[in-house]
Amino acid sequence: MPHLLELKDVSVSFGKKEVTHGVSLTLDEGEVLGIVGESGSGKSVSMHAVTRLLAQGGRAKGKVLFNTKNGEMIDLLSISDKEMRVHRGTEIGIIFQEPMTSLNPVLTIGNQLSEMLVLHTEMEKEKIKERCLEMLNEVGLVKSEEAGEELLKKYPYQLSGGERQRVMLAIAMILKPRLIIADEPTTALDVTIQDKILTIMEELSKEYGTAIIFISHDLGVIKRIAKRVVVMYKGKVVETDTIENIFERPKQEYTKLLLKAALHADPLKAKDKEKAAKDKDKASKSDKASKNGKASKNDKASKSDKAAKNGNEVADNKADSNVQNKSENEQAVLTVKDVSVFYDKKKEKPIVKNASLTVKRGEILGIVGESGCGKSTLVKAIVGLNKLYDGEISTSCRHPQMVFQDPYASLNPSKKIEWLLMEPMRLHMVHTPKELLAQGIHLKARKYTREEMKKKVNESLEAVGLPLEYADRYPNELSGGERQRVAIAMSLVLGQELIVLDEPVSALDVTVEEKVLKLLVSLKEKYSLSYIFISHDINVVKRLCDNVCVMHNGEIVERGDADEVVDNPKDDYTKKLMSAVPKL
Amino acid sequence: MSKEKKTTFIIGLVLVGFVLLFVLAGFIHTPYNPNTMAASLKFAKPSLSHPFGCDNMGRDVLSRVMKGASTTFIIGMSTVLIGLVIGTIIGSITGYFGGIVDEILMRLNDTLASFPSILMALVFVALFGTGKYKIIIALGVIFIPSFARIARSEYIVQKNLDYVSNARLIGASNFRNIFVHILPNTRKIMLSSFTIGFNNAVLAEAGMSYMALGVQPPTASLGRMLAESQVYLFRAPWMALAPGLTIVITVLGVSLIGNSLK
Repeated sequence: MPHLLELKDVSVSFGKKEVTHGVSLTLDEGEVLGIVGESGSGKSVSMHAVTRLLAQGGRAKGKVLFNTKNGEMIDLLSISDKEMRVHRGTEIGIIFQEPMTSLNPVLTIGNQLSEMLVLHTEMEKEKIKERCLEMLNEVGLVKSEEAGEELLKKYPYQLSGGERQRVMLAIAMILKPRLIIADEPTTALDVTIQDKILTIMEELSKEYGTAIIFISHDLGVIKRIAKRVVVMYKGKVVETDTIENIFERPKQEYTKLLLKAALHADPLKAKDKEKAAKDKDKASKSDKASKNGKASKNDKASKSDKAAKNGNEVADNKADSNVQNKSENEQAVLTVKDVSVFYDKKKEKPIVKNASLTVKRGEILGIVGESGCGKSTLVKAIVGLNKLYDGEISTSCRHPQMVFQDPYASLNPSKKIEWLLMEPMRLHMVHTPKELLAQGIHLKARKYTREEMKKKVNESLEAVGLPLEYADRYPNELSGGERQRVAIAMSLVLGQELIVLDEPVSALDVTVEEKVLKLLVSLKEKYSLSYIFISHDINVVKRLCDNVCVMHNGEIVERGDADEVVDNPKDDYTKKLMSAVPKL
Repeated sequence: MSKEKKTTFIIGLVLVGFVLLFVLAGFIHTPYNPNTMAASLKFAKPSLSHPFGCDNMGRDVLSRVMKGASTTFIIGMSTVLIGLVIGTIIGSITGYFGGIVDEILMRLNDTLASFPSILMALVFVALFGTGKYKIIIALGVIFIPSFARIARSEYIVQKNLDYVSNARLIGASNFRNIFVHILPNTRKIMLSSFTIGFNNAVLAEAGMSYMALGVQPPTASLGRMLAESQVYLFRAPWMALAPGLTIVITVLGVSLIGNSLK
C-alpha cells in the first residue's frame, strides 16, 4: 500500500540560507500525524513547501510524493502552478493558525464557503447552498436550516475566533480532501474552544477517512489527536515514532528535553519539592530492599533509622512551615476588597465585578480564566495603571511592578538595556534603609549616583542570568526569553515586594519557559517577593502557584489552594475549564 | 538594507551632494558676482567661462543658480524644521493624551490645513510683506498641520504598547514618557516626513518666488529665475534649464533618500 504523502529529503531555503534540511516523513490514508517542535524548528515551513505556499524567495528541493484520488503518484514539487491549484482544495485542505486573519473580511461566510465548490466543481447553485449548510452542521456551527442561512450571510467580524476556525475547517473539508494540513489551528484559542474543535476534527477524520497533519508546539494537544509524531528541531527531523513510544521511550536527547519541559517534571513549589525528595528516598529504599536479600537486616535497621530521621525532618519541616505560615498570615502584601473595575469614566459598565483576593508575603497567587474574563483589567487596577475602580485596594508595596506578556513589545526598542535598567533609578530617590529607620536615623532622600546605578545594573543582569555585556545591547538583539529576563530584572530594580506577571511565559517556547519559571522561583526566594501570576496554561499555574483564583465574566468564581482547585474543582465553570485541559 | 534600497540611497545621496556643492558655493564664493550686470554678455551662450551662459541682463547664470540654491536651501530647511518641531510637539501631546485636548487642537489643525496654502501665503504677504524671513514663517506655519497629524497617529499607536505602560509603572511622568520614551521610536516616520516636507518646502518657495511673493529681485532665487526666464525660453533656454534642473535634482535626490530609508 503506497503512502498517501511522502516527503523525501525536502530542504527549504530562502535565498542562500537553508532553513530546513533533508526532512523526510510519511503519512498513510486516514492517519493523524503530529509535527511538534519549537519556534524556528521548520515545521510550518516544511508544510508550506508541501502546499507550495512558501513566502517570496523560498525554494524547496527534494520530492513530495502524493497519492491522488485517481491512484496516481505525483511529485507536488514538480507540477505546474495550475495543476497544484487543482489539488489544493480537492485533495489537500489547509487550516491556518490565526483565525482572525485567515478569512477574507469583506466577503460573507457563504461566499467563502461556496467558493471551493464554485472553483472546483460544476454543481448548481441550490446544490452548492445545500452542501454549504450541510458542512456548517457537520462542524457544529448550526443546528437548524434557518440558523445556517443566517450564518451564510454573516461576515467574519461577526464571529468569534472559535467560530472562524470552524468555518475554516468547513472550507477545508467541503470537497472531502484526502489530506488536511492544520498549522497550529487551536493555539490562539481558549482551552474549552480548543477542546470542541479537536473533537470535531477527530470525528470528521473518522467519518471521511481524511488524513490530518497536525502541527503544534503543544505536546498535550498532539498526544490527544495524533497517532504518530514527528519531532523537529532547527530544521531537521529529530525523531519519528508512535505517540506511545515518543512519550514513554524517547530515544533522542532533544525529545527527552522537550518532554521533560512539557511534562513539567521538575517541582517548583516548596511542598512539591518536599514530596519529590520523599518519593526519591522511598524509591531508593525500595531499590535497595529488592537488591539485597541477606544483608537486609542491617540495612533494615539503618533504613528504619533513616526513615525515622526523614520522618522527623519532614515533621519538623511541617512544624516550621506552620510557624512560618502564621507570621506570613499577618503580613498581607495586597488586599483587594469588593473591587469593580471600569474603562468608562462614568463607571457604569464594570469589566471586573466585586473581586476580592489577598496575597501574603512570599505567596504566588495565580489568576486563570479565558480571554476576556477580566484578569488583565483587574491587575492593571491593582498596580495603578487603571484608576477607574470602586472598592478597596490596599498594598504595603509602594510601586508594584509588572512583567508583560509580549516580550517583543515590553522593552523600548530604541533604548539600550543598560538605559532601561537604570531608568527606575533615575526616577526615584534613595530612601533611608529600613535598618537605620528602625534605629531612628533619618537620612535625607537623595538621587542615585552613577556608580550605584552601574552596580545595580550589573547585579540585576547577574540575578536574572544574563551576561554583563548585554547592558550595551538593544532589545532587538535579544531573543524572546532573554527579553523576558530583562523585563524581570527591570521589575526588581526598585526592590518592590509585589510583582504582577501577566502571562509572562505564554509567548515563549516550552524549554525557555522552563528556565524562566525556575528563575522566577529562585528570585522569589532570594528577595522575599510575592507574585500574582496570570496564565491561561492551567498546568503551569498548578505547578508554580500556591493559590489560584479562577475568573469568568469579570467575577472570581473559585479561589483556593492551586492543587485543590485544579484537581477537585467545585464551581461548575471551573469544572468545565479543568476538564478541557489536555492532559499529558 | 536590501541591495535595491542601498543603490537608491546612494544615487539620492550623489544627487543631493551635487546640489549641496552648489549651495556651499552660494554661501562662500561664486565664480562671478550673481548681481553684476554686463551688457556685452547679454544672452551669452553656455561656454567654458560661463558654463550656464548669461541671462537677459548679462549676469552669470551659474553663479545665480548657486546663490539661488543656497537661498532655497535655507528657506526649505527652516520651513521644514519649524513645521517638524512645532508639529511634532503638538501631535505628540494630542496623540498621547487624547480626550478634550486632542479634539481642540485637532480642530485648530484642521482649520489651518483647510486653507489652500497659496491663499495662506498671500494673506501672510499682504499682512507682513515679502522677504526671506517672512516666507519662512509663512510656509513654516502652513507646514505644521501635516506634521502634527503624522506625529499624532504614530503616538496613538505607540502609547498603547507595553513598554509605555511599563515606563509609567516605573515612575515616568507623562512628559518624560512623551519625549524621552516614545519620541525616539518615531524616528523612522519623522525622518520620512522630513524628506517629503523638505521637497514640498523647496517647491513651495519656488512657487512663491515665481509669483513674486518670495524673495525680491535682485536677490537670486530659483523660482524667480524660472519666472524671469519664461519669456526668453526659446531665445536662451539655458536661463530656464539651469534653475529648473537644480530644483528637479534636489527634489529627486531627497525623495530617493527618503524612499530608501522607509
